[in-house]
Amino acid sequence: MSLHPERPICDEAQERLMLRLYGELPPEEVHALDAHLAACEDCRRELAALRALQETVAQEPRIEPSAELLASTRRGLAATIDREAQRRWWPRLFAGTLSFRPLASAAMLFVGISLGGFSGYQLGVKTHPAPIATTTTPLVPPDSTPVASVSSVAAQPDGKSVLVRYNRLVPESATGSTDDPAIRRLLAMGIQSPTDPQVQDDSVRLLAEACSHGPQCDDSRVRGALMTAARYDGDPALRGQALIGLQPYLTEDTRVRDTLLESLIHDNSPQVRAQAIHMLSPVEADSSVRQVLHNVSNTDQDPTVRRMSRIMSQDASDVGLQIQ
Amino acid sequence: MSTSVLGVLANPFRSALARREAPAAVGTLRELDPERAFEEQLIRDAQAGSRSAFDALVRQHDQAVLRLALNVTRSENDAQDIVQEAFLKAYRYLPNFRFECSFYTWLYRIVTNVALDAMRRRKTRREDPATMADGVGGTIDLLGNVSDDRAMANPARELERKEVGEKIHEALGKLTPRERMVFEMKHYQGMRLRAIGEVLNTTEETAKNTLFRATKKLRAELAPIRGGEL
Repeated sequence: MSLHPERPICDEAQERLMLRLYGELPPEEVHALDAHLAACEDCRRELAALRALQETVAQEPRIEPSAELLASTRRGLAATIDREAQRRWWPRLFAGTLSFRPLASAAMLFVGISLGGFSGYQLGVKTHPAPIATTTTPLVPPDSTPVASVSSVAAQPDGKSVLVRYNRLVPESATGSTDDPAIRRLLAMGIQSPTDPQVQDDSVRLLAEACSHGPQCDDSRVRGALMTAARYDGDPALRGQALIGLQPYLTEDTRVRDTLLESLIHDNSPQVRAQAIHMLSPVEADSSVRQVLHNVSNTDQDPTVRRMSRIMSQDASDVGLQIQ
Repeated sequence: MSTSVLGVLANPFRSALARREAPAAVGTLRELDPERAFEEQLIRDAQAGSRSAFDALVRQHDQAVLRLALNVTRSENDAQDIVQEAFLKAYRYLPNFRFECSFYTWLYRIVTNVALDAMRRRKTRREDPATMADGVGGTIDLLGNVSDDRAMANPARELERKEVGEKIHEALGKLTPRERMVFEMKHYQGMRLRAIGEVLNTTEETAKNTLFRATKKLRAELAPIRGGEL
């Protein structure tokens, strides 16, 4: 490969070296470039300079939004969206943002159906006088079976009663091993249920344990639920447990690797970030992992996390970059 | 019955009920990644007018958007303005979202456009690079506020670190808004060049060229502080 037939090193070669450092060089070019680097001192010097630049720039302090700033931003945004929602309908109609033609068609259809229905009703009343009262049994749902939702409401022709269609909740239960895929799916749903934090906590704990020790959690819904818990659960201990549940799938599933990297970059608990570093060991040679470790080793607020990242980053360099 | 994702989350039994009533729709979702299916349902609910679904979408992304805005503008006020304007546009145009790209890409197109406009406006103002305007009109010393346990025991090193930080910030400030944005997304956020190209509505090649230009500029600006090593 001829990277730079002329001296000094050309832009094309610099660009390739930059891409190599950022893990963006296509795999088929990495090998050729590494072989070239072994024989080219100029390029090795160039690579070292680019690496030094990355290290320097990584010293720029990163700003993490404070909880107060986030809360005040959310309050302001909610008020803005409220105002927008209020002025959404009529102004848009008159401004022409909403197409008038479909609305007019819908209105004509509605009027037509109403007139037809009313005429039919009048004819029916004349032909068959209405019974004094018509009811649907039961009149009201029993208290012991809560209503899930009301699906339709219709005033009855007698003008006094109303037909309400509703769906009831029918609680059920299931008992089984946490190795059972059906039980795992239920636990995955438990993780996503915000109504009872205890249900969430127990589901994360049991599912993480089952996935880390038991048969493979191949169901993407189950793995997805653990990834959600690792990212969003409010309790750092449970986020850490969710990560442990995902560990067996780290090398085979890039989404799991990305979840770990996200935890390493964004989790506000140093313990969880340190755990993520420890768990990334099997994929430390991966270019995106190396990049994140490198950044974290310079920017993380916690000295232990920085130190761990630096050590892991150096290990990864020893394994993955034999070119220096 | 339409199956609202918030309703499903609020009650798994309701979800089971919905499955019995609408097997075709849920069957389609079942084949998707659960997180994608969840987000897709949120988007559809928000498109249908559900404010709570839109709020849930906002909560998924607002912190990351605020972080990005804060780091490229270094101003709490500007960052808040960017978040507000970007999500307001997302709210207005969400009905036009046709799932032709990921929601992340679509949202970040809006965010980066709004942020680039704000950065261009800031370029003309040229504020003090080492301070940040806070939400109440005061200023925050950025470099003085960043804790670094390594340097606390050594005032000379702390001063040196602060000076280096200022120079880096000045060097970043000399990039064009687009170069700064690409560098932020690549170097600090670790995004792939292809994704950066998609977000900026351009090609991977253009994103790569922009990153390269930014790298060359930074190298020239920062060479003195590494003793010519760069």
